[in-house]
Amino acid sequence: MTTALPRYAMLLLLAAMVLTFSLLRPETFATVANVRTIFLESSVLAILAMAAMVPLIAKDFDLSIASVLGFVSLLAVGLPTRQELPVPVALVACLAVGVVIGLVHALLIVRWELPSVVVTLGTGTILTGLSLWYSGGTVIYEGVPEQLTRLGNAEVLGIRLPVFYMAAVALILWFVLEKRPWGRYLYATGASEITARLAGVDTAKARAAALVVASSLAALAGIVLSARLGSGSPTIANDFFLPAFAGAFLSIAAFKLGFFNPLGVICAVYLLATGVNGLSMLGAPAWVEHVFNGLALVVAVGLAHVSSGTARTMHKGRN
Amino acid sequence: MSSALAVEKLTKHFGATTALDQVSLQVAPGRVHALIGLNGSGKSTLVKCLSGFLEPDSGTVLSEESAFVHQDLGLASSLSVTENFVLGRPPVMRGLRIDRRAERELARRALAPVGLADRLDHPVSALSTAERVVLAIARALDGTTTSASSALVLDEPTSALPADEIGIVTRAIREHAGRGMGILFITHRLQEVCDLADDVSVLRDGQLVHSGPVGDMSIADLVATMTGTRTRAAAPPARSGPRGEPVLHATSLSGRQIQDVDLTLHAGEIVGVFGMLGSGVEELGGLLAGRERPASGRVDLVDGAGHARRAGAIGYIPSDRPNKAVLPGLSVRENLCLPSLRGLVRRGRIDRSREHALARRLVTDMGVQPRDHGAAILALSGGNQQKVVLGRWLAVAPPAIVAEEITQGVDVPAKEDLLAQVRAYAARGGAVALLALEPEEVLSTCDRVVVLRHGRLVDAAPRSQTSVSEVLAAMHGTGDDLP
Repeated sequence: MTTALPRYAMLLLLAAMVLTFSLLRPETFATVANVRTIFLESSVLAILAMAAMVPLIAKDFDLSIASVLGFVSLLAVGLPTRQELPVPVALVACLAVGVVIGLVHALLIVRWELPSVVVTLGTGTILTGLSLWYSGGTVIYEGVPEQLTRLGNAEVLGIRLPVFYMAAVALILWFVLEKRPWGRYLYATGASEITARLAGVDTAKARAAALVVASSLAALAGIVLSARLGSGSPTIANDFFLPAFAGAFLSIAAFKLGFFNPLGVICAVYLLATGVNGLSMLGAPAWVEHVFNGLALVVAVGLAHVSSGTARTMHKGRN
Repeated sequence: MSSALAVEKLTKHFGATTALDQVSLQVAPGRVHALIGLNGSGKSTLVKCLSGFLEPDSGTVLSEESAFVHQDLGLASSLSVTENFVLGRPPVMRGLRIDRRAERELARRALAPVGLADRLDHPVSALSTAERVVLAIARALDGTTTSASSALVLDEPTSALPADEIGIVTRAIREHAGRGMGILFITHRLQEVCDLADDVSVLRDGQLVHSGPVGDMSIADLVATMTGTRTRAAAPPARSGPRGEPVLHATSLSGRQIQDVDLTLHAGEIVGVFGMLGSGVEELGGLLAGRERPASGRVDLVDGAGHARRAGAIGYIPSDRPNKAVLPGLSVRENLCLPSLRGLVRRGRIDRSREHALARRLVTDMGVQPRDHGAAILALSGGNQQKVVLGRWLAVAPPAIVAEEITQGVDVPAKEDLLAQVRAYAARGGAVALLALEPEEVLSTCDRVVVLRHGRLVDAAPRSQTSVSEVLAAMHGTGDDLP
């Protein structure tokens, strides 16, 4: 019943941006090829941003997701080429790495009650080191099996597979977060962990599951990245860290206002990608990308805060 | 005789209620003056008028200079005693830097007389509760003239103290009074009034009903003055039938404060558990409901549902509603349905229509206002929030509900609604424990009363044979047992 406009404001902004760039650069921006590029380029980032989002719902940070993506992307090409594992076995191993990292996080953060920011900063740094060790500091690209690259480049209905992976992840997350008790428990934990616990919710289990989901999705994003590029780079994680968190935080300004949500993440990631793509077509220099991303994050989060803040003060009828 | 602090014909209305009605009292220099009264008698309104937080409708407050210490002492626990002492004042500068030595000397001079001289460099977290109170008092007095025309107002500074630490605070208060200050000291602890105060004033329903020297007044006299004509609880509504089978057993339960508590809740029975702050009543709720782990002893549900620690097996309403009972930022519906979600799952997903139907039914049954279950929980008044918290448990119908301070911060009509819902739940066979620091509001709802003192259960009696003043007397330990 709350006015629909703010919920869809980001979607409208995205549409307005697409329209503006299309009018300004009809021959480059508004082409099928360019739209496909934007979708494809952003699909890995969107999966990673959803990984960042899930623990954030319960107020836990997982700062290691980009490092997990980096490490797993190396394993995904390295295990079949260097260790000569069959591709399916290698991919299961990659996902298992994500799950194990998530379980370690759950042990340290939920069971031992260590602060999530510090723990995941630590594990992320460890994984960065392991990435350099495993790769020897160089890009792994030789002999990557076609079985792997096909997973990242085959097309269905003219759309490359990574876009489907992203859509599947978003839909599944939307379902479990909105329609399953686990999602409600996570949102309740984010509102007040002690209240949720006293109301009988196993908040430890809900948070632990969120951390495992985060690392697993980050591992998935790493697999998709390698499958698409056909190579693994030890430094690529750096490019993903901030945009992923920008997408996760921006999600609170779309659809489910004031709450992290997967559809909001998709919308936010495309808003940022479209803006950067359009600006570059207008001839903006590279540094504009960072300024644009940062500005969008601060403005959107500020607006979400103001709108939820006015909602609070409007009903200050406590006690 | 001039007074350190005088209040003349103070009147304050809140809407149709009269919180203070022509209250006049004087605090004489050099004397400790206790102010007592039941919950809702106007004590806190009077303190707020004294501190200037509230503007009285009429009447005056006369004082040269007064310092205040509130229940929340306002100390930073990670900082040292000295650092806390100088926190509110401009720093003593020596050139460009703070002169720590001079500040320490200031603190030493003020804190030595009250016995804190050797704790100047300790963090406040290492101090006992009593030492913190003493520090807060000394800080409040820093800069005042400590003359006959100045006053110190202590707003329940001793209510959180363990009984064996009160002496430290008492000595500090005496020390300040000895230098000529008038001290007004608001308390719940009647024993302290007898031990420490020279004079006592009693508020009842906004009126000053007694003001004079403590003399040889006993705790029983004070209770009688506070409760006045309300010594007998309202006539009990007839309860149908005998109490049912045992539902929950607490066996030799011990925790931080409570020791060896045995308590059984029966189906269809409402048990009132009363005790003063520090008696352990604050701790017992979480233990009974299985939300906290006891140091020793156990809590068992009888019906084979197993150990009470199974999450959510027993309904629990904590006293700290804003922080522990309400999910801020979420809707009334989300707050209501949280413990029921698993039961609402159909074909792998939470069934939206069942969820809405449950929320609608609860909002209607409980009389929650507004009736829109999509409204933000924080938009509701305290009473309506409490209805949601109770409704959350009525929806799952657990065998027992443990509720702390169920009427706290709740307006009168909502209070009656809440207690009526509790009675209806008991009539359906639920077992209820109502825990409270003050018996007067919930006593008439109880079938049985138990009293905690110094961590132990000291008395138990059927409510029909017990009055508010008898319960109060048992809580304060006058030696008279309940009948």
